[in-house]
Amino acid sequence: MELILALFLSGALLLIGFIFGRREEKKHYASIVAREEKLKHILIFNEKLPPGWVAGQPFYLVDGSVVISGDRFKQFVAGLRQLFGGRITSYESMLDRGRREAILRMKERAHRYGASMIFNVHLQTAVLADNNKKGQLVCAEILAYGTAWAIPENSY
Amino acid sequence: MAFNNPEATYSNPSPYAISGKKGNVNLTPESQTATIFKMLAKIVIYTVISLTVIYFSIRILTPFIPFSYEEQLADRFLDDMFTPPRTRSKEEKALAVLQRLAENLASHMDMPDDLVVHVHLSPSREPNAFATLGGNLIITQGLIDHMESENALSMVIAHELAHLKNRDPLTSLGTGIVVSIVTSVIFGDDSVISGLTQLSFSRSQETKADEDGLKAVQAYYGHTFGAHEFFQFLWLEYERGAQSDFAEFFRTHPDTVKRLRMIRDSQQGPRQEITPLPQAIQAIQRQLPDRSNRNRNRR
Repeated sequence: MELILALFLSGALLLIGFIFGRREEKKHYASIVAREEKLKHILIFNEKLPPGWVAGQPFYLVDGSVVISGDRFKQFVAGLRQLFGGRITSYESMLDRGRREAILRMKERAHRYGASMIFNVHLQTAVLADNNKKGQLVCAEILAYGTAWAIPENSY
Repeated sequence: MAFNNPEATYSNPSPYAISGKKGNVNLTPESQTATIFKMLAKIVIYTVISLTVIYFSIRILTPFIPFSYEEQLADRFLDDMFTPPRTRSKEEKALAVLQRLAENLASHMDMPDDLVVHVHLSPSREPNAFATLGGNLIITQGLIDHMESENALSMVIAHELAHLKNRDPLTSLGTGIVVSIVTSVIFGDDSVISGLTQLSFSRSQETKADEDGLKAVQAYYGHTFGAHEFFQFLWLEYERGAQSDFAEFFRTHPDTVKRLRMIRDSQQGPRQEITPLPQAIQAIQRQLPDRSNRNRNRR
């Protein structure tokens, strides 16, 4: 009897995760695509140093960070995946959204400085969940940072 | 300094390379729900296959497990299940006769070398007999009450001895564990251990026990006349409207008609003398309400 109740409860959590997680992901992707379009004039490079001709222009440290969480459904799919091996697709889309959101936040920061280029862009990921604790949801912080240069439009 | 090519534009990430989910190189293009169903199906199939393999390997391998190990198991599971009758009572004498009868029958069967048969009497009024772990054979008072000849009693005992010979109790313990694990997972039933001492045998085990038992009766008496008596009586009772007294027997011993036919088919040639029940067993028989009635019908 207790087992049936536990099964029912976890089934309900899975369903909630599936419905809301999917809706959330769809909404998030729509917002990401729209903002990427809006901010595409800010160029980002992983090149460490800017070209010499920007010397003397103001530059700022910009960063964007996001904490993104999976849901029960994603975790369940990942758990099944770990039995057979292979790509954990449910986490792929979660981390993809996280990376792009972090870059967007960094770009928004740069936009406020009036910057149009970010050099030396790096991404860092930290897992917030304790892997030893079973049943805990996976969530990760993704941090994007770089050096934004405010270069007057007409100079390039 | 300006770009050499005025047409060239640069933006990162490129809206053409990564847009939402479609065409995103960082995502595996596959449906979540399809994947999950595929994986669940895989798990179910693998579990069913492995449990089936375990189930049948138990059935094949148990005859090779030494009997001494089965005795240890029996000590653990059936420790205080049997109470010996009072000394010098009628029951003790009857039990000695039953034990001797079982040993005589066993000597006509191809028993494992180290198997020792222990016959027990149960005070239950429901007619039943069952074989269980450690060579233990339980006969109920109700069964004795319904017996009219030694041949009929021998057939029941030989049938149970055949279960012991085929190591069916141990097989049932093993397969019972597998089955109860499955049912406890599916139905959330926690009674994994409680059902283990109530071993039930499969149809094929029952049929095999019937054949072996009948052979032993044939070897012991030289004929199988009278062996069907008890089963025929059961069948008549069942036809008349199944009594609750016999429900338990039918549950553990299905296919009474098939069994009856098998015994009947083995009765070739002229009718032979039927051995009456030994005095010691007749002494513990209790009068049944319709016993005299039944005897009249037979004559």
